[in-house]
Amino acid sequence: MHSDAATGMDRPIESATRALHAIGAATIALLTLVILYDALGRLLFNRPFAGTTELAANAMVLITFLQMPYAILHGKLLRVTFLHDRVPAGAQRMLNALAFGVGAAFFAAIAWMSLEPLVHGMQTGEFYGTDAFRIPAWPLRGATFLLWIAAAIVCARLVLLSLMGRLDPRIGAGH
Amino acid sequence: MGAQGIWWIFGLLAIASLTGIPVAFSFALAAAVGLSFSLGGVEPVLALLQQTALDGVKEYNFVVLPLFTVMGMLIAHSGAAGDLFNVVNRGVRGVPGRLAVATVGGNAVFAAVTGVGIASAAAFSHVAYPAMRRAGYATSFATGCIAGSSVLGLLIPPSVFMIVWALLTEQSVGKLFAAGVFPGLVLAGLYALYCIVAAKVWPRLAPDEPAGEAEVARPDQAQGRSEMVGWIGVTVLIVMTLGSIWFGYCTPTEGSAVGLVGALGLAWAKGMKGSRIVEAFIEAGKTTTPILLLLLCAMMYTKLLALEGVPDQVRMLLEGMGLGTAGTVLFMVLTWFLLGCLIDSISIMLLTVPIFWPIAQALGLDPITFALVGILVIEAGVLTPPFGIGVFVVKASVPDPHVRVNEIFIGAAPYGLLILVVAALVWFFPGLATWLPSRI
Repeated sequence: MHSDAATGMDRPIESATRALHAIGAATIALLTLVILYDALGRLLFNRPFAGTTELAANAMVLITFLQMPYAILHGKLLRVTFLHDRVPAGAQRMLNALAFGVGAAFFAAIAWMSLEPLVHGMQTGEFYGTDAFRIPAWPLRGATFLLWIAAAIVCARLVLLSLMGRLDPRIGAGH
Repeated sequence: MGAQGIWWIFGLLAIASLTGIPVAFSFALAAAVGLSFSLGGVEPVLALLQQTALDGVKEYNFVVLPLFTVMGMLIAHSGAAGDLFNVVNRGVRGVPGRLAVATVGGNAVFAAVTGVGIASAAAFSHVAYPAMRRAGYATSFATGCIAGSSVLGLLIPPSVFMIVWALLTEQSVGKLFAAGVFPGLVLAGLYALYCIVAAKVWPRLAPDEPAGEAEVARPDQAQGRSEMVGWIGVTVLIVMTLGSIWFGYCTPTEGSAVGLVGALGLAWAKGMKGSRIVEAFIEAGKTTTPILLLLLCAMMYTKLLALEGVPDQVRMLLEGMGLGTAGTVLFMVLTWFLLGCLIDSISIMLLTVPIFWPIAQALGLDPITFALVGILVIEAGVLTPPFGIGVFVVKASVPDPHVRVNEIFIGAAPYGLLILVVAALVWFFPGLATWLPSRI
């Protein structure tokens, strides 16, 4: 975050979300290597890597939600600010609080709903993939559960900053 | 839920978006409310939303989106845009509006290694704007040219717009990429022609003065070598990435991995080191993540549309109006254009394609022609007020705080019109888009 909002608990949130974002970037780099290994194995030795599709699909989910909290914190979600830009400051605060409040509720709700499938998956040894290549489901389910909570916390923090009138204008302005 | 209920859901979506709720969350909210009526309760709706959030992007083909974006960001941060601009600039010596033509030409080549228009707009704002201003070009003409040319990145493959369209309509990404080549080149040609004619007719926009000639001076040895690395590197990258896909060696996903590794090599050769490379990855993440969240939430909304049979209802409504095929497509084009004045381009695609695509199929329209017309018209929204993201990126990137957004919108208007001209050309001469994909 920027300006006077970068105080108190905002610095740890900024650092933690940037770390998650960087892990997401590293996942992209690793995934690139896996895909190349598969392509080269197929083209040169006629021996593709059986797990590429499954690993790539699961990595996509991880990358998306690892990088989500930082993108939200930095106001990267697309917003229509036509009304927002034409109302007084007090109303802008309420609109911003509403905007991120819906986000907090969304992520909290899907995190809550993912608990039961997570526990069930761990108990039953749920897996993704086929006989040729399979990976257990719980790491992805567990990671998305935690990342959705992280995204909900970031949205909730932005609601709080909006209500206190301390939301960075660049986040409030969208784009 | 009846037909009337669906209009309530559209209304809720519109109100949520207009109150400033991020478009992705507006999609999710509208879907949640609509589905709770359809499924009869909140719990099954939340379970469905959770399942979509987990499974929505769990798809091998989606990998092209982050990989091509990282590739584009690496090239944009490497300084290769400046190399392309300088080389094209020397190549068009003596042409009226030379610096603007060089911006268009540089962007056309740059577009073949980046699928993100905003990356092009940001890169060329730093490179071309100072040169054009030093040569006495009008601010509006210079910035409009940069914003307008950046749209080429969304048409010439690889393109994020095409990837999203392909994912929404389950078409081949490789074929859509191929379909964008000739319309992209025609658009670049029309842009260049406009720059030349405008410079000739209104010399105050782009004066032909000696100061501009300084920009075409021969580079010193070190700069020449650096430019050669950039120019050759980009050419090799285009051949490696798109060539490997079109000649059948790689899937688009594998091609994007090849492109990313090649871009890393080029970035390293151009002197980019650790922290700047990491920054390019971080920037790419900030670009793709909102698109992926939009895609996810739009899938939730699409489930509602499918469950309620909305595409069929809209089709019957249009049939009842007796518009015919051309009239129906014109209706869609007008809808896209009007929505361009309300929301951003990716959101327009996610909002309308799930409804319009089944209608286009029912009408027997060629999928590639329809895709290109749709992509071109929606692309024009990148340059139209009030949400023309290409214009805002130029405003944020040009090293001149006095540039006003209105000036850029005015300067970019002719480019927006030319995009619509190319959309019409594709509609009347579909071979422009369909010939190359048919050869793959």
